[in-house]
Amino acid sequence: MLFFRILMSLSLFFLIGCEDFPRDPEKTLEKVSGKTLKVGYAEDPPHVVSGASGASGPQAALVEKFAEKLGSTVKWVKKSEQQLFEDLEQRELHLVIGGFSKQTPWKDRVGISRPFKSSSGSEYVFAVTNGENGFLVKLEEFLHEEIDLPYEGLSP
Amino acid sequence: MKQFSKFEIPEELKPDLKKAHRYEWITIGYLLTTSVLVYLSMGSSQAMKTAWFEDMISLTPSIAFLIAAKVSGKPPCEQFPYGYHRIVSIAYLCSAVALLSVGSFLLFDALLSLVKQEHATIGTVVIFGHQVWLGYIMILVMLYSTYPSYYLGKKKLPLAEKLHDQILYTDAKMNKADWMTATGTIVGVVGIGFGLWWADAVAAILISLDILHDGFGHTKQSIFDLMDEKPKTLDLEKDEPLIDVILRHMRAQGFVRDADLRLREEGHVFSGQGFVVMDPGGDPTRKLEELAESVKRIDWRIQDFNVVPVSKLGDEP
Repeated sequence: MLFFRILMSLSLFFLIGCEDFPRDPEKTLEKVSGKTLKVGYAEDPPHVVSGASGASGPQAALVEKFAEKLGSTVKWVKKSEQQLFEDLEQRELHLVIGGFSKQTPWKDRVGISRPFKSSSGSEYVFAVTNGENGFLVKLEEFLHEEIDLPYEGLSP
Repeated sequence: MKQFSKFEIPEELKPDLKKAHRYEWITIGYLLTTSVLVYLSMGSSQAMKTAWFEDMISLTPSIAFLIAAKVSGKPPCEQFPYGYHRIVSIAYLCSAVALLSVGSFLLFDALLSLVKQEHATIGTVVIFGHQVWLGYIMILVMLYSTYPSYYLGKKKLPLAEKLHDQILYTDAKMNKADWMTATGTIVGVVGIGFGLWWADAVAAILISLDILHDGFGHTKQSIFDLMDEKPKTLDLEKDEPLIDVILRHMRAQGFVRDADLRLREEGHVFSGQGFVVMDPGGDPTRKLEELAESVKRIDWRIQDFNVVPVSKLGDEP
């Protein structure tokens, strides 16, 4: 029984929550903070459109704001959707946007954020490298503050 | 030819049987609630998917127990002249295979995710306006999977011994598998939180080995039971001590020069034949019938026993 008590108190301890928990296995958050955030994008007007200096549109603006919060500068990479997700899987990108819904067939190979609503009411997600939970949680925290995220139940 | 009598569990064991039934119903209800909770908190975590799948399989022994209990007590009839006890052996096989599959599935899944270097992604959820890491929710759900399973398993073991019930025994092992897996998942999720993507899989592998050990042992035993192997104790460690007791009882009879027996397990009960070399004289039929009856009185688990007179035993010249 002692075992269970230890387990209980340990998990309670974690529930109180430390600042840098959960962490990234590949330290994405550490690597991008104050440095370059490599974001891949695919065009999906009007949410993401190609501009003079990379992506623009409301979803691109969100990313710029997120980067600002981390003190990073965004490096935009425009490729085909296939290429973007492959690069993300290979850890060559940190974030991929392009009007993806949570049903994206890539969801098993990359991590997707909790969905957020656009002004038109459709739901979109951003994609991150699988398992980079610290970075993902930071991103979702930002999205949560930025846009009123719809309540999604326990299963995002 | 002697007929099988209707199987009646001894009066003093009836409360235990009732308790066993109650625990099994509680187990089913409890496992259903866990599986719903796990399903809801699953996210994209492979560990939680495995835990959910395991919950579903671990229902097997409880359901098998209840079905077998319903059927096995029926009196023999023309179509089933040996009675219905064998259903228990079949249900035991099903439970044991379920345990084995939980272990194999867990091991296979964990190995695969190690080889593929799968990094589990666990995001956040919003609960009452607060953003919470889903990992914390998973840990809470898994805590709900530990203690009750541990308690149920602990309660079932002594009952299984008393009732000589292999299914109940396997189910207790399944409860053990459940709480161990849940503990492993907690360790895994905490590990993931610390950025150790492999923690989950390594914990699962260690636990799966223990489950595989139980599952393999019981699957083997249930097959051997169906092949009428010499009965073993529930923990599969030794030969059933009753065999020796019966043999000594038969040899102690005045008219018996030498004796031997064979016994087989039919669910909760044993049936078998004794072979005796008799001294001549007297009324052999009556003596043999009396001997068979007295053997059956040794233990309630001896359901059917016939004594056959022979001129010599085994390979004796």
